[in-house]
Amino acid sequence: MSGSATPSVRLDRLSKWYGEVMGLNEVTAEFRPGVTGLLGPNGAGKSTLIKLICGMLRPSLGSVFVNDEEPFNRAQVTRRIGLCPEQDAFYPKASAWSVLTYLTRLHGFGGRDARAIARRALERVGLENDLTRGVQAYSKGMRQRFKLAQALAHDPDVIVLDEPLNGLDPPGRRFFGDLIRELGAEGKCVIVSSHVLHEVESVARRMLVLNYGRVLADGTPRELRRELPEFPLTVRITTGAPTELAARVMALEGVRRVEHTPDGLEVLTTHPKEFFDALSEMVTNDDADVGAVVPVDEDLEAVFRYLTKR
Amino acid sequence: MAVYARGYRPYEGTFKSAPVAYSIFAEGARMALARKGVRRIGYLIALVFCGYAGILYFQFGLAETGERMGGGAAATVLEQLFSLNARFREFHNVSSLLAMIAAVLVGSSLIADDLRTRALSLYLVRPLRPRDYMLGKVMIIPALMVPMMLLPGLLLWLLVGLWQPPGETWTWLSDNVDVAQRVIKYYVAGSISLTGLLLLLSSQTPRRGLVMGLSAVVLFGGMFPRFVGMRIQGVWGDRLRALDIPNNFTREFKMAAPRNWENRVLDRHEAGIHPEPIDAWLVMLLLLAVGLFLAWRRARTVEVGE
Repeated sequence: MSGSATPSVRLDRLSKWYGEVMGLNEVTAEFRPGVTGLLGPNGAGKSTLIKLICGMLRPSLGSVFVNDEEPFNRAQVTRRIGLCPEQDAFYPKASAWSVLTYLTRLHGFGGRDARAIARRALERVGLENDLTRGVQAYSKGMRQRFKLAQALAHDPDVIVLDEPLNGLDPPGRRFFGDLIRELGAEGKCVIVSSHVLHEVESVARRMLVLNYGRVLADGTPRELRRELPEFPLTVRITTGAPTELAARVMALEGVRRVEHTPDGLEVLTTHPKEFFDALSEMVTNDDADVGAVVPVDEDLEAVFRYLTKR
Repeated sequence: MAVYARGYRPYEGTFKSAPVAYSIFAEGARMALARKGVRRIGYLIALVFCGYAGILYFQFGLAETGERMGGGAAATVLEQLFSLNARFREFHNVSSLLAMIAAVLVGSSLIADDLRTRALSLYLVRPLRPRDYMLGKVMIIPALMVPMMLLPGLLLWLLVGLWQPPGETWTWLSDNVDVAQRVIKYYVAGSISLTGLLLLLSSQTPRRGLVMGLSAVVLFGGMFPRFVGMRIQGVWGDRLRALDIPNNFTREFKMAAPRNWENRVLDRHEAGIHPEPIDAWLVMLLLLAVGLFLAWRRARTVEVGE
């Protein structure tokens, strides 16, 4: 699919400076319908690129085109974009439904239509039983779902998800992964930003790796993995039963080290994808006590160091 | 092939276009009215209004009784005791102070809340033009000031007209139509000043407390240049006096002295205390222009916040 369609987002020698600081440096790339991963360590320029694609920033040099139009301050372009920001961005005291209705109204829908659209979007992300609860009372996973709902509500062509899997538990990751793949299959251009390689690997058909504001690598996950064989990943797991979980995790293929931490375990694995699949299985089928699963940043930075050295 | 899991379909219902600026305004107004402090001030203004309306009604009754008893002296005493104009101004003094507090409570979060909650990033990725955002925000305080500044003033004028002797109501109302005009000018000037000031401050920081503090400094600190300006004659004196923002709009109702009401003290107070109207309006409109520009700039890009 991704190869046949025309690009939804096109970057042509795109650069952005913040004063003397270079945010993005002559990036040329295309994003087609389907899921594309945007990878890079903190400070690589992912957020700057997302803001440029979403029309929130004006390029310093070069151009960005969304559906062949420049997005900066162009209502006709931004109405076709959905952004799921990394950080919470809503009035915390309001209910999810009312906030989403309001945001939908900003697309020009009347009150009744906006309410219907908001309800459908919240149902799609599995929040149908919590429509009238205040967003403040939502768990981290529910807030992530809400942010995704507001990005999808107006049925955009281009969906930009900034670190959508951050801090989610295994069932939440699985749900998000399924939904992102589903959106890609619907023909949407989905851009998933992350600083964790395996997160994107599981959902994206193609990856764009950024570092220091430049494109470091562009290709399929398999191509990228080929460059990084058996690269280890450290994962922090929050659990109430660390000893029991450690015993089960040690039995998994590719696990090199398991250490106890104050709130759980820290696991070093050389097979991240298989490890996360197995962990999800444990939670779903065996009811294992697993809270948040957070890959440690340093590993990815090591990957980038490794890539930049070559 | 499109796959619609969980029964989801893209929306296919009717599309009614609603003005986006109105949506921004409606949400802002809803949030303003959700504040307990604002609602309490609204109740307090209603209470003060009822109190002053009661006093005025009682006053009319006493004045009529005094006249019927044939006592010119009694009527003079009553007039001195219950000066109608004084009551009128007192009510507006109290209500304008309360309205200012309500405006600061609401206005401190006009844009600051969008910055603090990062809602602005969600606005920017929607088909929202900066002028829609600006227009939506600019309507909130004037709307709030309608029940706090405009309606009580007009209602008081109307009530006093209705309490005139039988057959004189319309005559009194038409004779004193300038009072209603002054009340409207007071509302317009107040709304412009407070909106401009609060848009300006609220767009500069996400911290509500800081906006409230700075607003208080500007609103109450303006009396100092005015005091200095009172000792200076000419253009510079007027300009200094025009820096007292509340005085710029409260002067409107202070000048609204109904005819046939005694104790017209206002004209004597005018010279050297208030600025020339042109200077006062210049300051108010300048404040609004700067506030509008900063709100527009905020809704244009996140760059200023980087």
